[in-house]
Amino acid sequence: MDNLIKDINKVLEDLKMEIANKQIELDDLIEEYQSKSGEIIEN
Amino acid sequence: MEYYEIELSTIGVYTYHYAFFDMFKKYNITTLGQVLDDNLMYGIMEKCRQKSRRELCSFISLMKYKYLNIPIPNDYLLDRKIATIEYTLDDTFGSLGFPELCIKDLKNQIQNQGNEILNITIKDFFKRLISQGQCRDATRKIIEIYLEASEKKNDLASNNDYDTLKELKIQLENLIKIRDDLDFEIKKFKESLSKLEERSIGDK
Repeated sequence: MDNLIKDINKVLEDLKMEIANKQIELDDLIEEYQSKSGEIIEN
Repeated sequence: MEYYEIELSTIGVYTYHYAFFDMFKKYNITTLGQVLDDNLMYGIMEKCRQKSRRELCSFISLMKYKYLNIPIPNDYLLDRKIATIEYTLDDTFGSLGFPELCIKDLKNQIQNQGNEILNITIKDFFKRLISQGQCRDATRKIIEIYLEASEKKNDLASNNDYDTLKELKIQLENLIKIRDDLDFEIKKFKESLSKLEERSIGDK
């Protein structure tokens, strides 16, 4: 059980890092879309 | 009261110093339930500037932890030493969900603490601030969320009982859903960008 919990914690940390990177990727894509589409951006 | 009915004005960490505050006002976002509605929030993020979007994204992560017990993706930043982030303090504290006023507060505290502060981690810096009781209320409330999350994470890493395993499984499922939702949004924007480019080539 000890090793299993250690492994799951490692997967969780990797997943959190993956999510943080995907959030940055999405943020950049929205930025690019806004700039290319010419839609009015608020605040 | 159910969590989704809670008014944002009552939760302490929501302040008018957030860049997205005016957007929330305009679109009548007043409850926690609305902030935790992913579709609604992705819609808001599409409409706002990068600074507001980044702050909003981190704010949502904080709320998902506090009210849904979903791990905070950016909490790895807590283990960074102040010295290694000295030139990107704004980005780092922004990624942790602090509004501008709180970031100024944190940067002032770093300046006031002297050079030895540079060799400690953000987490230890936060602990020090709480014990000294020197930061403003909004800053302290966000810090307390991170310190609580960090303690919980340590507990989950050190226990090895069945309940811990069950808790980790739920966390894993929640994070996988967030990752899949992000993949969906990323795909959607990539397709929208391709269509824009096709249209632009067609116009030439």
